[in-house]
Amino acid sequence: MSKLVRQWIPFIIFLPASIIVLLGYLMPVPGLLYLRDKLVEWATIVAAFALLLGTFNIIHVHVGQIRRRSRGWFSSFVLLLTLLIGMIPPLLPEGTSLRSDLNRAVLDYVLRPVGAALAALIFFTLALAAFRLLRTRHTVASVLFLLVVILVLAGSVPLEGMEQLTLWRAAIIHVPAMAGARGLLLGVALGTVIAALRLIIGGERPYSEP
Amino acid sequence: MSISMIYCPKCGSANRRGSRFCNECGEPLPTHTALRCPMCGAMNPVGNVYCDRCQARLVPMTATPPEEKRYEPPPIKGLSLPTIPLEEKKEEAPPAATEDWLAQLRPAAIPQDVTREESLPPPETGREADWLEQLRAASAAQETGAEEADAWLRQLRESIPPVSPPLEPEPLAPAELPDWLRGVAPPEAPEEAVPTAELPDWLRGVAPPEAPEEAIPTAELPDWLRGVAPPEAPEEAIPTAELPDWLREIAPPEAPEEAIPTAELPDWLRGVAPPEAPEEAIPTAELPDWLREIAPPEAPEEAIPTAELPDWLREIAPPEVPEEAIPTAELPDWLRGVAPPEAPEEAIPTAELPDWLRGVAPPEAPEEAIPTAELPDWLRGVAPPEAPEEAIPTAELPDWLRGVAPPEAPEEAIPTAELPDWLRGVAPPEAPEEAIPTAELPDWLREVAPPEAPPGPLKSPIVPPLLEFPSETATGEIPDWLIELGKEVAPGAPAPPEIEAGGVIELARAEIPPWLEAMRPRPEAPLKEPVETEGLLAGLSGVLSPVLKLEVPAVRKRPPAAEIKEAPLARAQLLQRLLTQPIEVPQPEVRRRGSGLGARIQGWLVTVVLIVAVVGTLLVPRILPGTSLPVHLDTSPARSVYGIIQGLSAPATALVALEYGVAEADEMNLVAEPLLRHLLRQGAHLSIVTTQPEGKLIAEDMLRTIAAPESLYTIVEYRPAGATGISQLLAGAREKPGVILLLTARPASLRWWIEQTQARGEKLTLVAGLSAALEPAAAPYLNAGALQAALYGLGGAAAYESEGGLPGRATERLDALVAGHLAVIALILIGAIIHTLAGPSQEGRR
Repeated sequence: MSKLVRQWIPFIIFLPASIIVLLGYLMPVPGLLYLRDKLVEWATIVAAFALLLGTFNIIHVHVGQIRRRSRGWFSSFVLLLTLLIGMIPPLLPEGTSLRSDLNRAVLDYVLRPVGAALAALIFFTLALAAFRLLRTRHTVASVLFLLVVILVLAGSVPLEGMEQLTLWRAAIIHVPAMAGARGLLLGVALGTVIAALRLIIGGERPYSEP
Repeated sequence: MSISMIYCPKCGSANRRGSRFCNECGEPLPTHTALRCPMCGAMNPVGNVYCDRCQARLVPMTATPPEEKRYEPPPIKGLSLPTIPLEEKKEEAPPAATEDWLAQLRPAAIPQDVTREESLPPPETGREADWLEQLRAASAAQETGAEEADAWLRQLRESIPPVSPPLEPEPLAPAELPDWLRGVAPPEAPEEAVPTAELPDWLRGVAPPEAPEEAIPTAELPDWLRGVAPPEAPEEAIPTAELPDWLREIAPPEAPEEAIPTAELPDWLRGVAPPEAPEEAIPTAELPDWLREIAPPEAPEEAIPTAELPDWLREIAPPEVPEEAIPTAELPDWLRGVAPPEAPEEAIPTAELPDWLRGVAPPEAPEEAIPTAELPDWLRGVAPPEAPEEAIPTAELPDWLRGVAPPEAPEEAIPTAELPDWLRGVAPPEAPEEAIPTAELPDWLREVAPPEAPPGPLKSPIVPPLLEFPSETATGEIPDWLIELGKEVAPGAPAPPEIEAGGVIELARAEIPPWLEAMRPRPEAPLKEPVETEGLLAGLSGVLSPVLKLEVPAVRKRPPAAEIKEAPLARAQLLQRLLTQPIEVPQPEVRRRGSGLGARIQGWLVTVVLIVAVVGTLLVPRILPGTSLPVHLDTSPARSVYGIIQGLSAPATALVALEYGVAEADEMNLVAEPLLRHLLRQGAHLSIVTTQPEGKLIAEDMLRTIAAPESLYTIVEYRPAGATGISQLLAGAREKPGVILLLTARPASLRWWIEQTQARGEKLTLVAGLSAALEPAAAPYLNAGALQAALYGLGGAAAYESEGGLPGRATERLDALVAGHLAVIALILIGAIIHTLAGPSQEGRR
């Protein structure tokens, strides 16, 4: 009985749903389209529930860390405190000024500065890494990499009189870069197709328990 | 450990089976955290070998190569018999791993072909038969172990030498034995049995049965032994008529007709008639007194008259005729003591008794006890103790009794000279000084004569003769057999001296065989036990001391001091020194990468340059207004986007997908602002959607920044599930949007939107405002036509503002962007030059 519930019922639900959605995209039959849209809508609902479940799991994990006074428990406390503060505005009635003011304050004084700091940190780290690249690696690839970085940066917003850099930048982006990007996209697409087929035929069952 | 729970390797908390991450700390849990039983399907911990539920084996056993496998016959367990002979089974092929264990258990009566055909199908998988294989392996191991045990037992038996039978004392040859012992010679040498003809008359009856053919002819037997024929020769049994009376009762029943006639019996045997011939039973009147008691009751009238009885038998009269009891005076001396109790008045007068019977007074008549002086020597020891003063004087004792003095009166022992020849060797033990000299003893008694020199325990006890026989000197009638006995000598032994009336026969000293010597009772020295002097047990000897030995502490002896040599002592001291000293492990020098002064200077240099470049560029226009960097903008991408949006006519609907987070908001807001302003200027209704959780906040902030009228936009709620949410959004749109504006800095969102819009099958216009980093990722879609136009980064936004004449913050931030770019380029060049001239570091050389 447990094996039926853990393995076979999820597979029975997954298989027809996946086939209907796939066929709905391949064969735009009205019936299939209707079923496809319904299944997609239900999947969206399940995903929303999964997000809520993940939120509760985060709360549980960090509450446990605070209770056990494990390493980094203060960070868990700050996280839970922030979560509580962020849950307040949505609970306020729609259209109230307090709600908008709180949202703006959270965004302007918490989220945005934190985001900006992370972005600046990334910029500074990349700059330092580029500065010290030839200190550890004296290779052609390192030199070539640095030349490309210089061209792209100089050609993105070139100064006047350096319009040629724009052409070189465009050539680099539209030829080797785009080729690499296409290869990545093709690989992603093929992998997605294979993973989907494996899921459909039951080769992988991430939805069932072992 | 619970079967359904697994423990996190980091925090140790319990998690549900199959979990990929720890619920407490988020640590990825190792896969394969449980083993599924192939039999029952229960989950078991990884370390289990057997299932906790059904005890099936979880870990497969290592299989041996096929060439190494050898067929093992099924073990024989308990009392079960092998169904098939081992020779036949060895010829069979190794059984399959599934069904032959059943065939092996079947009885031999069932033919093998039938059993195999009727056998059950094999199990499905090898995993399920693991426990069967284990059982067989265990049984094979047991058989192997049993075989090994048998092998070593066999070897042990072979190694042990055969135990030789215990040594037995070599018995003396019958020729060495005295005559009176020949009858009790060990049976191990039946071939050494003395021919019956050589035996004395009185022993012929007790000759060994192994040589019945050597029985002495009856004619040669003395009268009193003629009835005692060896039982193994029934054909040689003496006729009942020839048997003496006392032997007639015990005569073999097979030949009752062979009984010895009563007339031929000696006087002292006439009373013992064989019971097998009751018709021949001696009348009670004929029986002697001493035998009348034991006379067959069937014929009491056949008792021998007392007058016919020999003197020594007259007292032993049958009790049935008590009136026929021999008077005491008629009894021989030696029998007077054993007169029948029923008729003590019938005791034979002492004068009438032979010398050798005169000392035997009937015990029932102690008042009639023969005085000790009257008793023969050999009976004085058994004289009634009540009347020791009645000992018979030695002079009156017959010769053959004179040596047997009563023990109560050792001073009355008969001198050796007065003892009969055959008793002279049997001296009383209480009077060792009265031992008869060996020279006086007859030959046949010399063997049993007590040793003259060694006193004490070496003296042989008095061996009563097997049969009592009268002395000729007492009555004047020496039986022939006695004379012959004196004349008969063993082969090789000196001839016994002639028995003379009143003479003394010197007995040869007998050689006691070792086995007989070993049987000699050893007088033990009496143990002197302390006598208790106090308490309830006072006066008793052998009382245990109340102080237990256990309570007394044992005195421990100190062990001898061990001799310690210098070398081991030095090693021990060295070891002790090493153990006591703290261990100093040399720590390897660990240098963090970039932790030196140069790395710090470089970091600070980069930081300062970037800050000066960016902040300075932002502050200079405020300090020096109108100053700006001469930047060349590429307006072609911006021109494409501008054209598409410009082509919208009211009332158009624009679906704006805001797919960036807070981290990308600083750049993307600058890109999104001119696009949204343009859409609003065109009168398009904005439907803002997002699949990011924080997208709604960003959108509200954006709209507030651009002061968009609330009537021109609608913020749709968050849609989760990535591509599925996008698909649902596109499916839920009530009308086809005029343009789809994608604002994202993430490649995944760009791909999802492009894929979902293309999958709808409808012709949708998709324009994108992207981050500068997504330019290479978006180029394929632009070339493919899936993306109609795209605007990249701050430069593109600035170009769009300049192209549309739309004021925005992008142009203000452009100088800072250019300065930052130039600063990074400068740092790269400087670093490359410095490090190229300085050479690679140690990390680079590794």
